[in-house]
Amino acid sequence: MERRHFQSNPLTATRHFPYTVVEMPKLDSVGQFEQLVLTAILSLHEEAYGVSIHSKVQELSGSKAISLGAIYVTLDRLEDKGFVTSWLSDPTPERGGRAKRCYRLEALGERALQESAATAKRVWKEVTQVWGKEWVKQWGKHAG
Amino acid sequence: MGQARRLMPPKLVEKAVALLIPPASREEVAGDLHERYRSLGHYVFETLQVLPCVIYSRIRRTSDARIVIIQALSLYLSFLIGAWLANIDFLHEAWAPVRLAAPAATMLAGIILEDAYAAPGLRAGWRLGRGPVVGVVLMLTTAARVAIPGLVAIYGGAVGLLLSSAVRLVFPPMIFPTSKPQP
Repeated sequence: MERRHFQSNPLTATRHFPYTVVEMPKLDSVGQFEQLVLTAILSLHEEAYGVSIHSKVQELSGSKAISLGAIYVTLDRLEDKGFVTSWLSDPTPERGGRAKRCYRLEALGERALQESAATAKRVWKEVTQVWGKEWVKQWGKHAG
Repeated sequence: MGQARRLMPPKLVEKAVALLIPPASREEVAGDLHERYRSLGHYVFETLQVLPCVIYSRIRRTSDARIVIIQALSLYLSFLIGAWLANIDFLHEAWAPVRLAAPAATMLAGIILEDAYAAPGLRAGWRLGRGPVVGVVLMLTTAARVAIPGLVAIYGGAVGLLLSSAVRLVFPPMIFPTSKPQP
């Protein structure tokens, strides 16, 4: 898949073939923080923008402090990977007349999140098998 | 029943903060900071936390590592040519090759920052020329110029302006679409 921002750069352009090259979209790997951001966008639906995503990620990550800046960097990276798309909403007075950048999960992002969830499920299954039901009870109390 | 007054950042501070944010992200980042305003201290602290991340992310989107390396080499070569043209004896001085790297690195930083801060709607011709000009101005006005003799800085800057513009002509700066129509 061609990255949108690689305009007509001879080093990065992929359109030098006399015929159409159709590449199967390769799924980029998703880090733990990216998983949290994707989950936040998924659960916030139409209301996914910087501040709301930050609050949701903070909630999902537990007690760990998350900076708003880290959210912006991750959102840009996810957009570059084609996992999410963004658009500017109408300006609102509670934001000093400024617009929100809203985010939506794309099919590629959904696929990446599904794969991450499936991997987490497999890890959970293996861990509970090895460490036993007692550990699950202990962990449940600890995680709240 | 009186309505609770919402806390808002001082207009002047908000304008100053908005100026520091790269134009491509200004609207949403300034809006988010406004929405999260609790006190002036918190606003300034959050701005200082967010700003490096936003600039870094913008640089990541507007710069290609391979082209940055080509630019760095061309700028270093420019100052080498500048030294050869203006004062060849300088090249025999202690640490001369290392000292030549300082103005080249400053000029490169100027080009990278100018690309990150370029307004999304800026015409391609302007984008090509503005980066190297900002780089030369930054080089001539910062401590990096002190590392080399004045004439070498001027000659090197002039050659750098030409070479980096030529590199940008072959490898144009990247433009990232910043907004899409609302679905």
